[in-house]
Amino acid sequence: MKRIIFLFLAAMAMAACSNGGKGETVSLMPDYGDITIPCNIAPLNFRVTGVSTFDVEIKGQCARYGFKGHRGLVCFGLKKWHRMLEAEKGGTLEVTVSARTATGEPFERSFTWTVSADSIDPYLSYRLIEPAYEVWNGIQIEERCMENFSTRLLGDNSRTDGCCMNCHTSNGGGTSFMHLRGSNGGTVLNRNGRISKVNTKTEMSGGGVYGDITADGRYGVFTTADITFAMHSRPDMRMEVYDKRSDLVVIDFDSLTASDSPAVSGADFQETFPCFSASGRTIFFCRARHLPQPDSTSSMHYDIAAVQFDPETGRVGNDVITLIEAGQRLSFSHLKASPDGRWLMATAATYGTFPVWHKESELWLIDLRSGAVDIMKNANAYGADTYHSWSSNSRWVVFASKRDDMVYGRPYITHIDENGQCSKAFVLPQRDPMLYTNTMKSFNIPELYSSPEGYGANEVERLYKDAPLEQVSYRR
Amino acid sequence: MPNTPHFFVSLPHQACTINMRKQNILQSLLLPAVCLAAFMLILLCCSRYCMAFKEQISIFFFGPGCLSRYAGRPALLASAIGDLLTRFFIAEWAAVAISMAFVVLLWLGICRFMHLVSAGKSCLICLVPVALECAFMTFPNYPLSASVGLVTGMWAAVAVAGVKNGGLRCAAYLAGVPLLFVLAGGPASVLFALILVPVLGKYGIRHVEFGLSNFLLLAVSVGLFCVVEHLYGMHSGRAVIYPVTSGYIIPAPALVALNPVLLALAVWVSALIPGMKTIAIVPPIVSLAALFALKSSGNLESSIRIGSLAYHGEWDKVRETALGDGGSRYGLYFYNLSYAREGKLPDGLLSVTQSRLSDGLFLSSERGESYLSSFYWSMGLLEMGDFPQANDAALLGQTVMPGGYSSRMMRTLAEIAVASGEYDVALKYLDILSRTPGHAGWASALRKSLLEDNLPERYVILQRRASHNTDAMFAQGDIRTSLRNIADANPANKVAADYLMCSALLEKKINSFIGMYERWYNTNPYRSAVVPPLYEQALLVNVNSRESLMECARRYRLSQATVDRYMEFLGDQADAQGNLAKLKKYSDTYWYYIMSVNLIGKEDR
Repeated sequence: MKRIIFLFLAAMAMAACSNGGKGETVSLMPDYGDITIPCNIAPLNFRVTGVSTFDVEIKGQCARYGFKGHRGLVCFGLKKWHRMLEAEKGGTLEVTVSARTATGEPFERSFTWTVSADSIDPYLSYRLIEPAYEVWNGIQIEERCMENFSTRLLGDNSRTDGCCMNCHTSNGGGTSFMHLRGSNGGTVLNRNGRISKVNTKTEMSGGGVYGDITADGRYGVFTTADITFAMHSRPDMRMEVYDKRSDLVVIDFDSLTASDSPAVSGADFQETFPCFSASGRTIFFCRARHLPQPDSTSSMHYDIAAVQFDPETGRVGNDVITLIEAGQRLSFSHLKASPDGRWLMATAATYGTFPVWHKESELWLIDLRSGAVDIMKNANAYGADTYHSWSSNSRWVVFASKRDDMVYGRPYITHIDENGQCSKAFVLPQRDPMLYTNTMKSFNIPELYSSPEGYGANEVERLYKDAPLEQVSYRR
Repeated sequence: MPNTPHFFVSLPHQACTINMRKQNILQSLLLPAVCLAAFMLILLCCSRYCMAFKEQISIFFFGPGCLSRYAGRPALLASAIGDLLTRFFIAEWAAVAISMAFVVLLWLGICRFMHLVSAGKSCLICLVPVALECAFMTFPNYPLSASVGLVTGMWAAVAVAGVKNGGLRCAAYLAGVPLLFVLAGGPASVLFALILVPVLGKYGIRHVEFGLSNFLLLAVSVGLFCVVEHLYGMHSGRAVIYPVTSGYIIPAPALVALNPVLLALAVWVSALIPGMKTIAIVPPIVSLAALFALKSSGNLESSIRIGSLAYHGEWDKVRETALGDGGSRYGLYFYNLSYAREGKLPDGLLSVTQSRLSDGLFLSSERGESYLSSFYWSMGLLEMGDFPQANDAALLGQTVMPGGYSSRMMRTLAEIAVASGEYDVALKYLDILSRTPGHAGWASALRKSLLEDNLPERYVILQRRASHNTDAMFAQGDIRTSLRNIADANPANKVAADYLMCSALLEKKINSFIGMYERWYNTNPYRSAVVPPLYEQALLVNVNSRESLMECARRYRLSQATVDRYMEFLGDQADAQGNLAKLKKYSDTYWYYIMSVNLIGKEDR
């Protein structure tokens, strides 16, 4: 009985004083200090731990803006926030947070927000999943508006027999795909509003996994791989995913035909993570010489390679050029070319093809004009930085980073200027940033695009359960 | 009485004789009280651990963002209240008492409603849905929020039935259906929609009617319900049972939707057929008994009981319970784990009848396994030092829970993170737990020790068990390869080696055992400091002659006591001529085990 009474009293006490406890260190969460932000980003609400009420003064070139923080949280009004960003576009905001701590000591912290005139694509999709080996009981793919906090579900696997769902990928121009696994699965293809379920597996090629779509939406290039999971015995390494074999296949969505080429398939090399160049005339991909798996997984070092592609005929060229050799200490993955054709971004890890659980993984930026490589020191941090996505104006990149706790991924945003200089990355703002602490889901595979996806979880469920599977055929 | 074309019932006003009054008291007070007391007694005796388990598979935390977890889902209020009250289920009696309080509230709601609509005293037939509610409560994944929702629905119906103005009542009815879905969930909304239908007519609440207009209103309310469920992106099948979710423990969650229907039906049947009142005592008792019988034969309760005792650190009771429960899989597993925690797995192994297939040593978290298996397996993997798999099992255990959160698994995840040195994520879990009633003290203390770099001894021991220096990959679920990797990489991890060696012994794979002994024990001073008697006995099991016995004793430095006892055993074995009863005094030895198990390992063929 005493225990219950104690619990009740403790509960009430916790409810009464959840903020501003004596002796708590004052800090800002998340770290939004000295960052560059898009002119259309949602309010950067933040928490100040250790104080209850505080003032936020924002000094811009046009005006001063005052905000109040209550219960440790400042929630900027949406209209006021966007008016402020519009007025201060291209300028720098000086932000000052001031408060008195529970012990009466004054606290003040100042930092800057540079408001970039470059806007970010207004929609972001990401997958919400527990960060574990085979936990796909609760996968959701969510679409978030970057200009406010509204979200909606694109897919929810509790409504599709618990099947795994992954890789929501958009070309930013009305075409997107998302893979549904399971008995009724297939690739959900959205071509300018026409949604269908496609079986990309043919009698000669495997089903598509990682992929990309040309800007006009006609072609998709995919990895076809025999993917295997394994665990590490070291506690800090968790799990590994490797391909026993992998090739590339190009799918023409107009004719629903798949084709490959000896240059990007065969037993000698393993090819993966393909992406089209902005012109659609080159396919970039990662390639490593085949080694027996899993014994040699830690010896798999993927280079960055390229091959010509003819959008008129849908044929892949025969000559593969290695753009960057990985050597014995690196392995590249997750290639994404910027829509303006200037940059190629890749994830660099020490080995293998699944950097998500490699804490050393970081983003690299390759200048396709000069071949110069930037290791993006401003944006990277220890803790896997992976799965990046370009904004359609090539000025913003969103990526998943586990830097905060090494386990749970969160979407981080960085600005890339015309010279390829990246800014300090900041986490996607939330109405209440405590969402990141309280959630047990990892934000994974973020993808930017400019218009809302044409379907939702209801359509995906219907598609999964009722829609006929459109079969891709192999073209010799 | 108004002239009406509708089916019409008006119940007589009270003009009772003394006998009738006595009968009324019996029906309205005594019998329901006896029934409710019986329900409580049954819950307390048969299902208290299942009910208390709800605390372990849900969470409620205070502080910033605590309610945002419920936003975007129906049953907002009921879920939050239910989860909050479930924190007090940490004591089994409190779980039963709080649950019963809602049952009583439901019953009182029924009584009040029937009084309002002039149906007289509540009929005992209404105890059927109440009994059904009690039976549902015994399922661990029937959340308290479902009961909170149902009670809310009942009392909302009482409130609307009390509105005298007919138009206002209809308006409140139409608004109430979607609102209740938002605040209290599907069953509450269904109950509200159905139970009020007959009192929506123009004649007022004293007249029960089933006219066309009533059904039109019902149709409109169903339409509103569908609109709201669509806003939540739900289908009717899921919406009408929410906050109960499908799968895992309740075998047919659609049955949950039956309860409000049955409740509404029972109320109106008892109003329309007063003659049923006196015999209606039978169904609730029969249905309750049947449901309990159907639910389980007590396996789930005993499995959860032993798991809960282990979770609360009552390891003495774990051993006691395991010895008494006839060798169930979870009983053996926790019995062995209780010794493994102390680094004495071989010492306790044969003090209980073990499964010859090592079922009592290893569980699994693979697909198709029970959710309890994932829950419990994470504890064992943690002790063995297989932190990546422990983490995976704990996350899986948490994910399969109705709300996707589990206070128990979060504690386990925090422990695993501390043991594997991943302090950043440990702090995330501890931060949530420190805002959770019932776990705040534990989490705050561990958090403090983590920040001060002054870990409790248990975590220091666990940290030593990890394989920090070398890495090897293995297929998920392949526990033997994993343990072999750990035992090879880390001589300080005796638990992993013991699990593998004990597994080989139980499966009579003597050659495999000797190989492991030579690899990990015989050459390792850390492990060979004290060789467990079980291992000494196993090393002698194939020795037949005195010469080879001496050779074996010398090679493995066996204790004289074991050698002497084995010689004595050999003599007695010859006298017993295969009669095990005559060898009972050796029942704690491996020699006895190997004689008693009629299984020959492949290696020995």
